[in-house]
Amino acid sequence: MTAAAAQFLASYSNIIDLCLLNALVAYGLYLALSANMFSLATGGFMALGAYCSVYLTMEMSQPFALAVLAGAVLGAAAATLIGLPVLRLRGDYFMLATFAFTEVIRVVALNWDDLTGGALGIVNIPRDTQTWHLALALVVVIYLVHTLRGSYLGRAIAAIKQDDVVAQTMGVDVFTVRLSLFVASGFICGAAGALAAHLNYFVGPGDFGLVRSVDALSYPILGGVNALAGPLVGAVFTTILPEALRFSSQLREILLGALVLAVVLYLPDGALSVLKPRRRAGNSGGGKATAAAPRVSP
Amino acid sequence: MRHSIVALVLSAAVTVGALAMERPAQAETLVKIGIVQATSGGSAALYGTMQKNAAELAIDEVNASGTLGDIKLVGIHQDDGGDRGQSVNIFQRLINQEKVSVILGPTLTTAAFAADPIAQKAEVPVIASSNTAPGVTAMGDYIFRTSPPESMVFPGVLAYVKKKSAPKTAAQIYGIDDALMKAAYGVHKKALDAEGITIVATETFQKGDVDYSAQLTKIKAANPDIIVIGGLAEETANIVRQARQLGIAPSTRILGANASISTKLAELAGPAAEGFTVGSSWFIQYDNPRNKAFVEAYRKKYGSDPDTFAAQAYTSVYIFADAVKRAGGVSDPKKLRDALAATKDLDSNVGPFSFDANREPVIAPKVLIVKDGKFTLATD
Repeated sequence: MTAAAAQFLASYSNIIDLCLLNALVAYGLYLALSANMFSLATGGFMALGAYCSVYLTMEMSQPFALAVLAGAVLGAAAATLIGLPVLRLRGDYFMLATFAFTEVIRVVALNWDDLTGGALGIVNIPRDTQTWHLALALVVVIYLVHTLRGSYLGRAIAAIKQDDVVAQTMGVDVFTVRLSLFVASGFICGAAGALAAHLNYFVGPGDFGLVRSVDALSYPILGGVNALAGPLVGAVFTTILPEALRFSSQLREILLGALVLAVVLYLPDGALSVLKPRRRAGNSGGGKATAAAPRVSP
Repeated sequence: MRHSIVALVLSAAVTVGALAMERPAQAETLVKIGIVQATSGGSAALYGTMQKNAAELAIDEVNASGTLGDIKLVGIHQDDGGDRGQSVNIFQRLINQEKVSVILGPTLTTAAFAADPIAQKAEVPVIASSNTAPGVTAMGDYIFRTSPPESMVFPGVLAYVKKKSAPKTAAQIYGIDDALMKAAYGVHKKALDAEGITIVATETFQKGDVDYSAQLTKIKAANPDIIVIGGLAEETANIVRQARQLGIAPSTRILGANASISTKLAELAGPAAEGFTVGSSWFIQYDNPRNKAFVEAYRKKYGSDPDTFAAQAYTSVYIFADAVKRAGGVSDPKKLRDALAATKDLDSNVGPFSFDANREPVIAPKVLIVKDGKFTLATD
């Protein structure tokens, strides 16, 4: 039995690691999304965390823990710097600005050969990230998010999500709350970038581009932004799906797209919203789900 | 609500179905070959699909020939979609669950840097047929490749050009955001320096660029004797065409990187491609009985022409089969590795094939020149 378990772990440990890592990123995005910030800066934050931590472990021979922390702090610092001017922008403009940030970081990484190795990337990175590091980080983040949701600040964030003008009138400092959330998101993504860099021996500028940012955005949206477990479910679902569909070879991409489409169409509040009607039965809060239904029924 | 259940049941059914598909253990005479090639996911799929096809063709041929006695090769292809995370997932599963004896691939060098260390640790040989960036085989003594790096091909091309026209100055243009092209640029520069040719202009471009007139105008102003392009087929074709349109004379010879060899290049560049010079380990008209058989079988089975990477993937299978024969089976991974490393002058579709001490391919490089819209072997 233990042999079977060992074989299972050896065969699937990378999938487990990726699930944990992506879930971590998903919570970073969840914080931004909870105040209606559709951030595409994830790739940029992760790249900063990754390159910073790799520089520290490989060039400066610093301990891994310090490198991850430095990566996270750099992510948070970048979030502060771009958050201050950019958080004045809303909706599409905010998204464009964060996309531009990710793109700038990617192009800098391509051209700064001495530090990043340019397009060739950095090879032979020590594999310092252990599964328990990822699990621990995820548990801590989930706990913090859980605490946040129950606090005064959590209610202020919920109010901003509903309508930020009303929240402002009620005395919520919208700008500060948004900036704090964005910085926290940068911190988590920076740490995730550092952990990712030490997971697979290699980093290159292509790892942290727009695709990474969009993927990260899709985890909490697919899982559901209203439930605490939403980002986790979304990240695990999206990570496992390509492997689970492997039997279908050529059909894989089509099935993948179809399943994601099914979730988006029939569960507009995310996969976890199937649990919601029961909890909210007869409640006025169910209004959104029922309002969405006629739109999609044939 | 009903829709939601349908969606969830659908996803659950697919997941369970996938888990139920695991293959049972096989008989002892079967030797499993993991083929990790991207058959989906953008441009990587272009190279991956052909290599997968060629490898499967070679496996069928080896089995049909009976040279391995009661050993039967079984190819297990897995698509990594050009995504490094998936390549690592696949390597882990192929090694620990399928217990493959060798892995052919992966398609992309970046995937190799992430996945190959796993195979090295598990002592499962890897033979790549499309990784040409430097440092791949340096990852360990179980990592081999049949794709010659640019550094093994380009110096020969330059020596040929030097003999023909004795150029004094050169201009370089390369793709800055592609690992392969960046590496090619370094190799080209080193070779030019070694030959004492002065580089008078260096320009860059990015993936997806279609207009190179700004860079080419600068190059034209520098008036080099030759132009060296570090780009893939499509980009190189555009650069060659636009260079001639801008009035860079045909006497200025244009040289390309190994990775730009494709019948598409001559098609896209049209008459401007005349005289384009490039080095390769293989080309489709290569006059060798094994190559003729390969090209014919490939055309018959898949209805299209193989490319260089396909030829090298085909070679990989024959190298492995030969090593299995010499090692007397695959039960001892060390013996198998040593047999692979000892491959010498194997009669293959790319000519006599050997591995050097660093597990890099030793193939006679061929200098090719575009003539009447076709790559032809430089005769003198």
